[in-house]
Amino acid sequence: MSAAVLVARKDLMILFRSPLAYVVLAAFLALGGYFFASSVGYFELVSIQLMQNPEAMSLTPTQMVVTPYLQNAAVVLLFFLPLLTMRGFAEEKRMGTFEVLMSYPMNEAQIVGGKLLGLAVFLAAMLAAGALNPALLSLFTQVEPLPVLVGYLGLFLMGAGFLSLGLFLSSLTESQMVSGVLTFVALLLLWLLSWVRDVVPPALAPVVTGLSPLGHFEPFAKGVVQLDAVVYYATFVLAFFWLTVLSLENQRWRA
Amino acid sequence: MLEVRNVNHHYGAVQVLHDLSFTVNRGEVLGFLGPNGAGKSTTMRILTGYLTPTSGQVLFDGLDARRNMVALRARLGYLPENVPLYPELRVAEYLRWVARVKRSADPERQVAEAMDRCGLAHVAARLIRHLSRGYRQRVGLAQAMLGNAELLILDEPTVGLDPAQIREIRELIRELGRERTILLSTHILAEVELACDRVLIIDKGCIKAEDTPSNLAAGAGALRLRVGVAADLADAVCAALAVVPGVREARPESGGGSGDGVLVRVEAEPGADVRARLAERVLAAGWPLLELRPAGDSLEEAFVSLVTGQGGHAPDAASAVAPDAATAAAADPAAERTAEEAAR
Repeated sequence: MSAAVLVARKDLMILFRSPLAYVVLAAFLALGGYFFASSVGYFELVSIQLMQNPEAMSLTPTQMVVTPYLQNAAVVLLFFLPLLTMRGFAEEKRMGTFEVLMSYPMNEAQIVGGKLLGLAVFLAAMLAAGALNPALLSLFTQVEPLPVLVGYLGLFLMGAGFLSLGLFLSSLTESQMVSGVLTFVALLLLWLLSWVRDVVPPALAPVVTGLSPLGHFEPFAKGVVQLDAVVYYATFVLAFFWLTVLSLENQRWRA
Repeated sequence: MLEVRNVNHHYGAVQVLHDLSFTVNRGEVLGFLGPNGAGKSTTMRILTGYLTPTSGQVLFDGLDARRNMVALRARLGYLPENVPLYPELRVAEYLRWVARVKRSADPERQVAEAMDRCGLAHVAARLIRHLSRGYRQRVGLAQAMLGNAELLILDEPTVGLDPAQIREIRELIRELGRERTILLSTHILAEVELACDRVLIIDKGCIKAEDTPSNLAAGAGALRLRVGVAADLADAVCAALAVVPGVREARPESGGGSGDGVLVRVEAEPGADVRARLAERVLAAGWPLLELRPAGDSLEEAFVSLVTGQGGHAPDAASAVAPDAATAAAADPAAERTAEEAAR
């Protein structure tokens, strides 16, 4: 088995032995469930009125319930993923296991890739558990499956970007706390970008939009795969992956 | 097997290793002995590739270790000083994982064998979190020997253990040393004498000596004796003993006399056995001889004199020099442990 997969397996084993994994999962499901249930309630309320309005007949449960749910889930991820990445390298370094890990026959890229893979698997499991919401909805009304899947793809890509960023920040410190807070602040700043685009000078607006991770998620939430958004997330993940590898290599020279 | 060439290392402005060069030969157990803070752990981190030295080279079977890192690590087993393990994993689970990561051909069999040798079979299903210090150390050793580890680098493997555990771990290291090359760092002298084929003494980042434990002991090797005499004036006794043929120096013992006599410390010329002549001289002068016994362990003397850069008279000389207090502290527990072991 490849070294990266082994690292991922070990990290997942450790993650699932700690209460943290279950707390994050439960919190994500509870908050997501609340948002979902409230949009369903709202949809119920307005759909009766909408039925009399021929122009609004085109509004579907997918648009009215799933899209807002996915957008809310994206923000919930932004709050909870730092809790998963903060252990990352910080904990291994604090305990000293990092030194042993580095004496095994694998290179930095495999170690970072393994850690990212492990967290991505957890993220996928979390999203899959959350997908119970739209699945339940589809029992009662018509939900278009493809746009929902696209939405989940977007959510996963965005989450992977957040994980990659979080791992990078955790490779800079020995303290979980510092690593977690740094990641949280960084993600909040990125979230801010989707708010300030109407405030900044018009010349800067495209830059702000271009940088915003939540802005790139919007087309996904509506069921549209946009190439630029996919490229954006892929770049986001790879850039921080590469920075993490560099950060680990760099530590050989100063540790 | 492993060659270190002119390695220097700085932490910021502080130079911790000064032009270190040595070789580890295939099949030997090399002891890396030095007081705390001498640069042992830094050297080991450089050997495993965790640190890149500021300058210098590490060759593993003639290959530059830095360029062939991954291939060489496949043949390495490393146990760092504080035995870092993952507390959330179970012993067998962890070892199986390590065996796979270290590309063992048959992980299951190898793990079973390693657990057997390290006496871990009955704790295989326990969480590492719940293990005692001694068992953790064994898990650390088992972890290091998995895979194709031809070279084991063990950083202070017996620190923090009780005497019985120390004995077990030393036994295990000796056994492992029959089939593998081991580089073992320690600040405990007895460990070197018991487990190592060759010793490297390092202090303040410099190699002070390199030899077999017995040669080192012999090299420092002049006979040192404590002579107890029932006399009033220590100076008179010293003067009388100093003229005995083969005696290099005789001086009053600082540690106080036993009973009513005086204690004199006598250092002989290398190779000279002056015991009989000393006894004759004391009796000829009309003083009753109260005691005549060797003063201090000779390897310990070698170590202390090398590290403090003084001509012996340890350990009181060492403790008198303030910056080297660590040396004396390192030497004393060693002596205690030896005594404890002898008593068992």
